[in-house]
Amino acid sequence: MADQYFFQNIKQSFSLSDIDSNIEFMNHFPGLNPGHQDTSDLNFHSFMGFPHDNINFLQLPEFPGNLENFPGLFSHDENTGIPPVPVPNISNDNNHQDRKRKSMDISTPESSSANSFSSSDKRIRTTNAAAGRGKKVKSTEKKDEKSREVIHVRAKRGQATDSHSLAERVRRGKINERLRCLQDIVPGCYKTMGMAVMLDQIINYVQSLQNQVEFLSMKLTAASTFYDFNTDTDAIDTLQRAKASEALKIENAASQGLPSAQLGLNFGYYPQLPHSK
Amino acid sequence: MKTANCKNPHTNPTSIKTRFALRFLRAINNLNNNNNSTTPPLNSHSAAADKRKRCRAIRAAAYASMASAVGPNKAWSRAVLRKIRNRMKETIKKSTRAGTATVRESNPRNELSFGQENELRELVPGGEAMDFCRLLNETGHYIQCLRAQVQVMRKILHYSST
Repeated sequence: MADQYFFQNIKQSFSLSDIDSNIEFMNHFPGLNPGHQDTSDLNFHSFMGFPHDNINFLQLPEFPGNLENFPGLFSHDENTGIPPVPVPNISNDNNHQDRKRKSMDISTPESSSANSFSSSDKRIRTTNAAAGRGKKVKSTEKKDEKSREVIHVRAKRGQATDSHSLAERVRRGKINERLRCLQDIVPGCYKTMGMAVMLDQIINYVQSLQNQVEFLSMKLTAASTFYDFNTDTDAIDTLQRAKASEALKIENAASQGLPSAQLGLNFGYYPQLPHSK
Repeated sequence: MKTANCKNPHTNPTSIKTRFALRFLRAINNLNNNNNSTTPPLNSHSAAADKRKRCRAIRAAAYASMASAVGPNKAWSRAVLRKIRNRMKETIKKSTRAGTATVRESNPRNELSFGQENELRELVPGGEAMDFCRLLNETGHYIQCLRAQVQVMRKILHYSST
Protein backbone atom coordinates (compact mmCIF):
# COMPACT_ATOMS: atom_id res chain seq x y z
CA MET A 1 0.00 0.00 0.00
CA ALA A 2 2.75 2.35 0.84
CA ASP A 3 4.52 1.44 -2.28
CA GLN A 4 1.73 2.28 -4.55
CA TYR A 5 1.37 5.70 -5.83
CA PHE A 6 -1.89 6.65 -7.30
CA PHE A 7 -1.35 8.43 -10.50
CA GLN A 8 -3.65 10.20 -12.74
CA ASN A 9 -3.56 10.25 -16.46
CA ILE A 10 -3.85 13.40 -18.33
CA LYS A 11 -6.78 13.21 -20.59
CA GLN A 12 -6.12 16.09 -22.80
CA SER A 13 -2.94 16.81 -24.56
CA PHE A 14 -0.86 19.72 -23.59
CA SER A 15 -1.20 22.54 -25.88
CA LEU A 16 1.57 24.36 -24.17
CA SER A 17 3.91 21.49 -23.87
CA ASP A 18 6.42 23.00 -26.19
CA ILE A 19 6.90 26.03 -24.08
CA ASP A 20 9.99 25.79 -22.03
CA SER A 21 9.85 28.60 -19.66
CA ASN A 22 7.62 28.27 -16.69
CA ILE A 23 7.14 31.93 -16.44
CA GLU A 24 5.49 31.99 -19.75
CA PHE A 25 3.14 29.40 -18.45
CA MET A 26 2.14 31.63 -15.64
CA ASN A 27 1.24 34.34 -18.04
CA HIS A 28 -1.15 32.09 -19.77
CA PHE A 29 -3.06 31.30 -16.68
CA PRO A 30 -5.80 33.85 -16.83
CA GLY A 31 -6.49 32.89 -20.37
CA LEU A 32 -6.80 29.26 -19.60
CA ASN A 33 -9.55 29.54 -17.13
CA PRO A 34 -12.77 30.06 -18.90
CA GLY A 35 -14.55 29.93 -15.63
CA HIS A 36 -15.62 26.45 -15.04
CA GLN A 37 -17.58 26.11 -11.94
CA ASP A 38 -16.73 22.57 -11.30
CA THR A 39 -14.67 22.57 -8.20
CA SER A 40 -13.52 19.38 -6.78
CA ASP A 41 -11.99 19.35 -3.39
CA LEU A 42 -8.96 17.64 -4.64
CA ASN A 43 -7.90 20.31 -6.99
CA PHE A 44 -8.80 23.04 -4.67
CA HIS A 45 -6.69 21.67 -1.91
CA SER A 46 -3.90 20.77 -4.16
CA PHE A 47 -3.68 24.21 -5.49
CA MET A 48 -4.14 25.81 -2.20
CA GLY A 49 -0.89 24.30 -1.34
CA PHE A 50 0.91 26.13 -4.03
CA PRO A 51 1.46 29.41 -2.36
CA HIS A 52 3.04 27.65 0.53
CA ASP A 53 5.23 25.65 -1.68
CA ASN A 54 6.57 28.55 -3.48
CA ILE A 55 7.45 30.43 -0.42
CA ASN A 56 8.85 27.91 1.90
CA PHE A 57 9.69 24.49 0.81
CA LEU A 58 9.96 23.07 4.24
CA GLN A 59 6.40 23.86 4.96
CA LEU A 60 5.08 20.59 3.84
CA PRO A 61 3.66 19.28 7.05
CA GLU A 62 0.27 19.61 5.57
CA PHE A 63 0.59 15.98 4.72
CA PRO A 64 2.51 14.63 7.62
CA GLY A 65 1.05 11.22 7.46
CA ASN A 66 2.16 10.62 3.99
CA LEU A 67 5.53 12.16 4.14
CA GLU A 68 7.13 9.01 5.31
CA ASN A 69 6.07 7.26 2.25
CA PHE A 70 7.99 9.51 0.03
CA PRO A 71 11.25 10.13 1.68
CA GLY A 72 13.17 11.07 -1.32
CA LEU A 73 10.82 13.61 -2.55
CA PHE A 74 12.19 16.36 -0.50
CA SER A 75 15.75 15.56 -0.96
CA HIS A 76 15.50 16.88 -4.42
CA ASP A 77 14.35 20.22 -3.34
CA GLU A 78 17.19 22.56 -3.73
CA ASN A 79 15.42 25.72 -4.64
CA THR A 80 12.84 27.52 -2.73
CA GLY A 81 11.42 29.64 -5.43
CA ILE A 82 9.83 27.12 -7.61
CA PRO A 83 7.21 28.02 -10.08
CA PRO A 84 4.72 25.33 -10.74
CA VAL A 85 4.32 23.87 -14.11
CA PRO A 86 0.95 24.83 -15.29
CA VAL A 87 -0.60 22.25 -17.41
CA PRO A 88 -3.64 23.31 -19.26
CA ASN A 89 -6.20 20.81 -18.21
CA ILE A 90 -6.96 18.53 -15.43
CA SER A 91 -9.50 15.83 -15.59
CA ASN A 92 -11.44 15.83 -12.43
CA ASP A 93 -13.20 12.60 -13.10
CA ASN A 94 -10.02 10.65 -13.01
CA ASN A 95 -9.31 11.37 -9.44
CA HIS A 96 -10.55 8.03 -8.42
CA GLN A 97 -7.79 5.58 -8.22
CA ASP A 98 -8.32 2.06 -9.22
CA ARG A 99 -5.02 1.70 -10.88
CA LYS A 100 -1.76 3.52 -10.84
CA ARG A 101 -2.13 6.96 -12.26
CA LYS A 102 -0.20 10.10 -12.17
CA SER A 103 -1.29 13.65 -11.94
CA MET A 104 0.64 16.71 -12.77
CA ASP A 105 0.51 20.15 -11.40
CA ILE A 106 -2.09 21.23 -13.69
CA SER A 107 -3.90 24.40 -13.99
CA THR A 108 -7.50 23.69 -13.63
CA PRO A 109 -10.13 25.42 -15.55
CA GLU A 110 -11.76 26.31 -12.32
CA SER A 111 -12.30 29.76 -11.20
CA SER A 112 -11.56 29.06 -7.59
CA SER A 113 -8.17 27.72 -8.31
CA ALA A 114 -7.69 30.45 -10.75
CA ASN A 115 -7.92 32.81 -7.88
CA SER A 116 -5.35 30.95 -5.96
CA PHE A 117 -3.20 30.88 -8.97
CA SER A 118 -3.42 34.52 -9.52
CA SER A 119 -2.47 35.13 -5.96
CA SER A 120 0.37 32.72 -6.16
CA ASP A 121 1.21 34.19 -9.48
CA LYS A 122 2.68 37.27 -8.04
CA ARG A 123 4.53 35.42 -5.38
CA ILE A 124 5.96 33.05 -7.90
CA ARG A 125 7.15 35.87 -10.02
CA THR A 126 8.83 37.55 -7.17
CA THR A 127 10.48 34.47 -5.82
CA ASN A 128 11.45 33.36 -9.23
CA ALA A 129 12.97 36.65 -10.00
CA ALA A 130 14.83 36.52 -6.77
CA ALA A 131 15.99 32.96 -7.05
CA GLY A 132 17.09 32.20 -10.49
CA ARG A 133 18.71 34.84 -12.51
CA GLY A 134 20.46 33.51 -15.46
CA LYS A 135 20.56 30.05 -14.06
CA LYS A 136 18.27 27.22 -14.70
CA VAL A 137 15.52 26.99 -12.21
CA LYS A 138 15.33 23.30 -11.83
CA SER A 139 12.38 22.19 -9.93
CA THR A 140 11.05 18.81 -9.27
CA GLU A 141 8.63 18.21 -6.59
CA LYS A 142 6.33 15.50 -5.65
CA LYS A 143 3.64 16.20 -3.24
CA ASP A 144 1.33 13.78 -1.68
CA GLU A 145 -2.28 14.48 -1.16
CA LYS A 146 -3.78 13.33 2.01
CA SER A 147 -7.15 12.65 0.59
CA ARG A 148 -6.48 11.18 -2.79
CA GLU A 149 -2.85 10.07 -2.82
CA VAL A 150 -2.12 11.78 -6.02
CA ILE A 151 1.35 12.64 -7.07
CA HIS A 152 1.99 16.03 -8.46
CA VAL A 153 5.08 16.29 -10.49
CA ARG A 154 6.77 19.32 -11.73
CA ALA A 155 8.64 19.07 -14.91
CA LYS A 156 12.06 20.48 -15.09
CA ARG A 157 12.74 23.44 -17.16
CA GLY A 158 13.51 22.46 -20.66
CA GLN A 159 12.12 18.99 -20.39
CA ALA A 160 9.20 17.33 -21.97
CA THR A 161 6.02 17.44 -20.08
CA ASP A 162 4.10 14.66 -21.62
CA SER A 163 2.76 12.05 -19.33
CA HIS A 164 5.11 9.30 -20.36
CA SER A 165 8.33 11.07 -19.68
CA LEU A 166 6.99 12.42 -16.44
CA ALA A 167 5.98 8.94 -15.42
CA GLU A 168 9.42 7.78 -16.34
CA ARG A 169 10.96 10.50 -14.29
CA VAL A 170 8.86 9.61 -11.28
CA ARG A 171 9.78 6.00 -11.63
CA ARG A 172 13.45 6.74 -11.96
CA GLY A 173 13.24 8.97 -8.92
CA LYS A 174 11.71 6.16 -6.94
CA ILE A 175 14.34 3.72 -8.06
CA ASN A 176 17.11 6.11 -7.19
CA GLU A 177 15.65 6.62 -3.77
CA ARG A 178 15.50 2.91 -3.15
CA LEU A 179 19.04 2.54 -4.33
CA ARG A 180 20.10 5.19 -1.87
CA CYS A 181 18.45 3.28 0.93
CA LEU A 182 20.14 0.11 -0.15
CA GLN A 183 23.40 1.98 -0.15
CA ASP A 184 23.07 2.46 3.58
CA ILE A 185 22.24 -1.15 4.14
CA VAL A 186 24.85 -2.78 2.00
CA PRO A 187 28.39 -2.21 3.15
CA GLY A 188 30.84 -1.20 0.56
CA CYS A 189 28.61 1.11 -1.39
CA TYR A 190 29.73 4.59 -2.00
CA LYS A 191 27.71 7.51 -3.08
CA THR A 192 29.69 7.96 -6.22
CA MET A 193 28.75 4.59 -7.55
CA GLY A 194 26.41 4.28 -10.41
CA MET A 195 23.47 2.01 -10.47
CA ALA A 196 25.24 -0.87 -12.16
CA VAL A 197 28.11 -0.97 -9.69
CA MET A 198 25.75 -0.70 -6.78
CA LEU A 199 23.64 -3.53 -8.09
CA ASP A 200 26.78 -5.60 -8.36
CA GLN A 201 27.61 -4.90 -4.76
CA ILE A 202 24.11 -5.74 -3.66
CA ILE A 203 24.14 -9.01 -5.54
CA ASN A 204 27.50 -9.93 -4.10
CA TYR A 205 26.36 -9.13 -0.64
CA VAL A 206 23.20 -11.19 -0.90
CA GLN A 207 25.17 -14.09 -2.29
CA SER A 208 27.73 -13.85 0.48
CA LEU A 209 24.99 -13.81 3.10
CA GLN A 210 23.35 -16.84 1.60
CA ASN A 211 26.69 -18.61 1.51
CA GLN A 212 27.18 -17.80 5.14
CA VAL A 213 23.81 -19.30 5.95
CA GLU A 214 24.77 -22.43 4.10
CA PHE A 215 28.09 -22.67 5.84
CA LEU A 216 26.56 -22.14 9.26
CA SER A 217 23.89 -24.70 8.65
CA MET A 218 26.57 -27.17 7.67
CA LYS A 219 28.36 -26.52 10.90
CA LEU A 220 25.16 -26.73 12.83
CA THR A 221 24.35 -30.19 11.53
CA ALA A 222 27.18 -31.61 13.47
CA ALA A 223 26.96 -29.35 16.48
CA SER A 224 23.24 -29.54 16.97
CA THR A 225 22.92 -33.30 16.92
CA PHE A 226 24.06 -33.79 20.44
CA TYR A 227 22.63 -30.66 21.85
CA ASP A 228 19.25 -30.53 23.36
CA PHE A 229 17.80 -27.14 22.79
CA ASN A 230 14.68 -27.58 24.83
CA THR A 231 15.92 -26.31 28.10
CA ASP A 232 18.19 -23.70 26.67
CA THR A 233 15.73 -21.78 24.59
CA ASP A 234 15.09 -19.39 27.39
CA ALA A 235 18.75 -18.99 28.03
CA ILE A 236 19.50 -18.03 24.50
CA ASP A 237 16.62 -15.66 24.47
CA THR A 238 17.72 -13.94 27.59
CA LEU A 239 21.22 -13.70 26.31
CA GLN A 240 20.02 -12.23 23.10
CA ARG A 241 17.85 -9.84 24.90
CA ALA A 242 20.73 -8.88 27.09
CA LYS A 243 22.88 -8.13 24.13
CA ALA A 244 20.13 -6.32 22.36
CA SER A 245 19.25 -4.32 25.38
CA GLU A 246 22.82 -3.21 25.71
CA ALA A 247 22.75 -2.03 22.19
CA LEU A 248 19.49 -0.31 22.73
CA LYS A 249 20.71 1.36 25.84
CA ILE A 250 23.47 2.85 23.90
CA GLU A 251 20.99 4.17 21.43
CA ASN A 252 18.20 5.17 23.70
CA ALA A 253 18.79 6.99 26.89
CA ALA A 254 15.58 5.90 28.49
CA SER A 255 14.13 2.54 27.89
CA GLN A 256 12.54 1.43 31.02
CA GLY A 257 10.66 -1.47 29.64
CA LEU A 258 13.76 -3.48 28.93
CA PRO A 259 15.24 -4.11 32.35
CA SER A 260 11.90 -5.24 33.65
CA ALA A 261 11.55 -7.53 30.70
CA GLN A 262 14.89 -9.00 31.47
CA LEU A 263 13.98 -9.53 35.05
CA GLY A 264 10.69 -10.97 34.06
CA LEU A 265 12.31 -13.42 31.76
CA ASN A 266 14.77 -14.73 34.20
CA PHE A 267 12.37 -16.01 36.79
CA GLY A 268 15.34 -16.94 38.83
CA TYR A 269 16.85 -18.64 35.84
CA TYR A 270 20.42 -17.69 35.54
CA PRO A 271 21.63 -17.09 32.07
CA GLN A 272 24.26 -19.73 31.97
CA LEU A 273 24.32 -22.39 29.41
CA PRO A 274 24.71 -25.84 30.81
CA HIS A 275 27.15 -27.87 28.86
CA SER A 276 25.23 -30.97 28.20
CA LYS A 277 27.64 -33.29 26.56
CA MET B 1 14.43 17.04 4.46
CA LYS B 2 15.44 13.50 3.92
CA THR B 3 13.51 11.18 6.11
CA ALA B 4 15.12 8.01 7.29
CA ASN B 5 12.55 5.76 5.83
CA CYS B 6 14.88 3.30 4.31
CA LYS B 7 12.78 0.25 4.77
CA ASN B 8 13.87 -0.46 8.29
CA PRO B 9 11.94 -3.45 9.42
CA HIS B 10 13.87 -3.82 12.60
CA THR B 11 12.36 -1.02 14.53
CA ASN B 12 12.55 -3.51 17.30
CA PRO B 13 15.64 -5.50 16.36
CA THR B 14 15.25 -7.86 19.23
CA SER B 15 11.88 -9.12 18.15
CA ILE B 16 12.83 -10.47 14.77
CA LYS B 17 15.92 -12.12 16.11
CA THR B 18 14.20 -13.72 19.06
CA ARG B 19 11.27 -14.85 16.99
CA PHE B 20 13.60 -16.37 14.48
CA ALA B 21 15.73 -17.96 17.18
CA LEU B 22 12.73 -19.55 18.83
CA ARG B 23 11.39 -21.00 15.66
CA PHE B 24 14.74 -22.19 14.49
CA LEU B 25 15.54 -23.92 17.73
CA ARG B 26 12.17 -25.53 17.76
CA ALA B 27 12.74 -26.77 14.24
CA ILE B 28 16.09 -28.22 15.16
CA ASN B 29 14.48 -29.93 18.13
CA ASN B 30 11.90 -31.48 15.90
CA LEU B 31 14.59 -32.59 13.55
CA ASN B 32 16.54 -34.16 16.34
CA ASN B 33 13.53 -35.93 17.74
CA ASN B 34 12.58 -37.29 14.38
CA ASN B 35 16.06 -38.50 13.78
CA ASN B 36 16.30 -40.16 17.12
CA SER B 37 13.13 -42.08 16.50
CA THR B 38 14.57 -43.67 13.40
CA THR B 39 17.38 -46.09 13.87
CA PRO B 40 20.75 -44.61 13.10
CA PRO B 41 22.42 -46.23 10.12
CA LEU B 42 25.61 -48.12 10.57
CA ASN B 43 26.75 -47.68 7.05
CA SER B 44 29.19 -44.81 6.77
CA HIS B 45 28.18 -44.14 3.21
CA SER B 46 24.61 -43.49 4.09
CA ALA B 47 25.76 -41.56 7.12
CA ALA B 48 27.30 -39.02 4.82
CA ALA B 49 24.12 -38.87 2.82
CA ASP B 50 22.18 -38.45 6.02
CA LYS B 51 24.45 -35.69 7.03
CA ARG B 52 23.85 -33.93 3.76
CA LYS B 53 20.17 -34.42 4.14
CA ARG B 54 20.29 -33.04 7.62
CA CYS B 55 22.31 -30.10 6.45
CA ARG B 56 19.74 -29.32 3.82
CA ALA B 57 16.97 -29.73 6.34
CA ILE B 58 18.62 -27.34 8.73
CA ARG B 59 19.14 -24.78 6.03
CA ALA B 60 15.52 -25.08 4.97
CA ALA B 61 14.49 -24.77 8.59
CA ALA B 62 16.54 -21.62 8.90
CA TYR B 63 14.90 -19.96 5.93
CA ALA B 64 11.48 -21.15 6.93
CA SER B 65 11.91 -19.88 10.48
CA MET B 66 13.01 -16.52 9.24
CA ALA B 67 10.18 -16.28 6.79
CA SER B 68 7.61 -17.19 9.40
CA ALA B 69 9.16 -14.79 11.88
CA VAL B 70 8.86 -12.00 9.36
CA GLY B 71 5.29 -12.84 8.61
CA PRO B 72 3.28 -12.55 5.43
CA ASN B 73 3.77 -8.84 5.08
CA LYS B 74 6.65 -9.12 2.72
CA ALA B 75 6.55 -10.70 -0.68
CA TRP B 76 9.79 -12.57 -0.21
CA SER B 77 8.67 -14.21 3.02
CA ARG B 78 5.44 -15.24 1.38
CA ALA B 79 7.36 -16.76 -1.49
CA VAL B 80 9.62 -18.70 0.85
CA LEU B 81 6.72 -20.07 2.84
CA ARG B 82 4.90 -20.96 -0.32
CA LYS B 83 7.90 -22.80 -1.64
CA ILE B 84 8.31 -24.79 1.52
CA ARG B 85 4.66 -25.64 1.74
CA ASN B 86 4.68 -26.80 -1.82
CA ARG B 87 7.72 -28.88 -1.24
CA MET B 88 6.07 -30.51 1.70
CA LYS B 89 2.86 -31.14 -0.14
CA GLU B 90 4.14 -32.48 -3.37
CA THR B 91 7.38 -34.27 -3.44
CA ILE B 92 6.67 -35.81 -6.78
CA LYS B 93 5.40 -33.13 -9.01
CA LYS B 94 7.31 -29.92 -8.99
CA SER B 95 5.18 -26.91 -8.36
CA THR B 96 5.70 -24.08 -10.74
CA ARG B 97 3.62 -21.70 -8.81
CA ALA B 98 6.37 -19.16 -8.67
CA GLY B 99 6.46 -19.07 -12.42
CA THR B 100 2.80 -18.41 -12.89
CA ALA B 101 2.95 -15.12 -11.16
CA THR B 102 1.93 -11.93 -12.80
CA VAL B 103 3.88 -10.53 -15.64
CA ARG B 104 6.51 -8.13 -14.57
CA GLU B 105 6.90 -4.94 -16.43
CA SER B 106 10.04 -4.61 -18.41
CA ASN B 107 11.48 -1.23 -19.07
CA PRO B 108 14.51 -1.82 -21.16
CA ARG B 109 15.30 1.81 -21.46
CA ASN B 110 15.55 2.22 -17.73
CA GLU B 111 17.39 -0.86 -16.77
CA LEU B 112 20.90 -0.21 -17.87
CA SER B 113 22.00 -3.11 -15.75
CA PHE B 114 23.21 -5.94 -17.86
CA GLY B 115 21.45 -8.92 -16.46
CA GLN B 116 21.93 -7.74 -12.92
CA GLU B 117 18.28 -7.18 -12.50
CA ASN B 118 17.56 -10.78 -13.46
CA GLU B 119 20.26 -11.98 -11.17
CA LEU B 120 18.78 -10.06 -8.31
CA ARG B 121 15.41 -11.48 -9.11
CA GLU B 122 16.82 -14.95 -8.83
CA LEU B 123 18.48 -14.25 -5.54
CA VAL B 124 15.58 -12.69 -3.75
CA PRO B 125 12.76 -15.16 -3.27
CA GLY B 126 9.65 -14.14 -5.05
CA GLY B 127 11.54 -11.66 -7.09
CA GLU B 128 10.30 -12.76 -10.45
CA ALA B 129 6.89 -11.30 -10.04
CA MET B 130 7.56 -7.72 -9.17
CA ASP B 131 8.67 -4.60 -10.83
CA PHE B 132 12.11 -3.29 -10.29
CA CYS B 133 11.16 -0.69 -7.74
CA ARG B 134 9.42 -3.19 -5.52
CA LEU B 135 12.26 -5.61 -6.02
CA LEU B 136 14.64 -3.09 -4.52
CA ASN B 137 12.34 -2.69 -1.54
CA GLU B 138 12.20 -6.39 -0.96
CA THR B 139 15.92 -6.72 -1.41
CA GLY B 140 16.58 -4.22 1.34
CA HIS B 141 14.33 -5.97 3.78
CA TYR B 142 15.63 -9.36 2.75
CA ILE B 143 19.21 -8.30 3.33
CA GLN B 144 18.44 -7.05 6.80
CA CYS B 145 16.67 -10.25 7.72
CA LEU B 146 19.42 -12.38 6.25
CA ARG B 147 21.94 -10.50 8.32
CA ALA B 148 19.93 -11.07 11.47
CA GLN B 149 19.57 -14.73 10.57
CA VAL B 150 23.30 -15.13 10.15
CA GLN B 151 23.98 -13.46 13.47
CA VAL B 152 21.54 -15.65 15.33
CA MET B 153 22.79 -18.82 13.70
CA ARG B 154 26.33 -17.90 14.53
CA LYS B 155 25.38 -17.36 18.12
CA ILE B 156 23.54 -20.66 18.31
CA LEU B 157 26.49 -22.41 16.81
CA HIS B 158 28.77 -20.75 19.28
CA TYR B 159 26.66 -21.81 22.22
CA SER B 160 26.08 -25.30 21.04
CA SER B 161 29.66 -26.07 20.38
CA THR B 162 31.13 -24.78 23.60
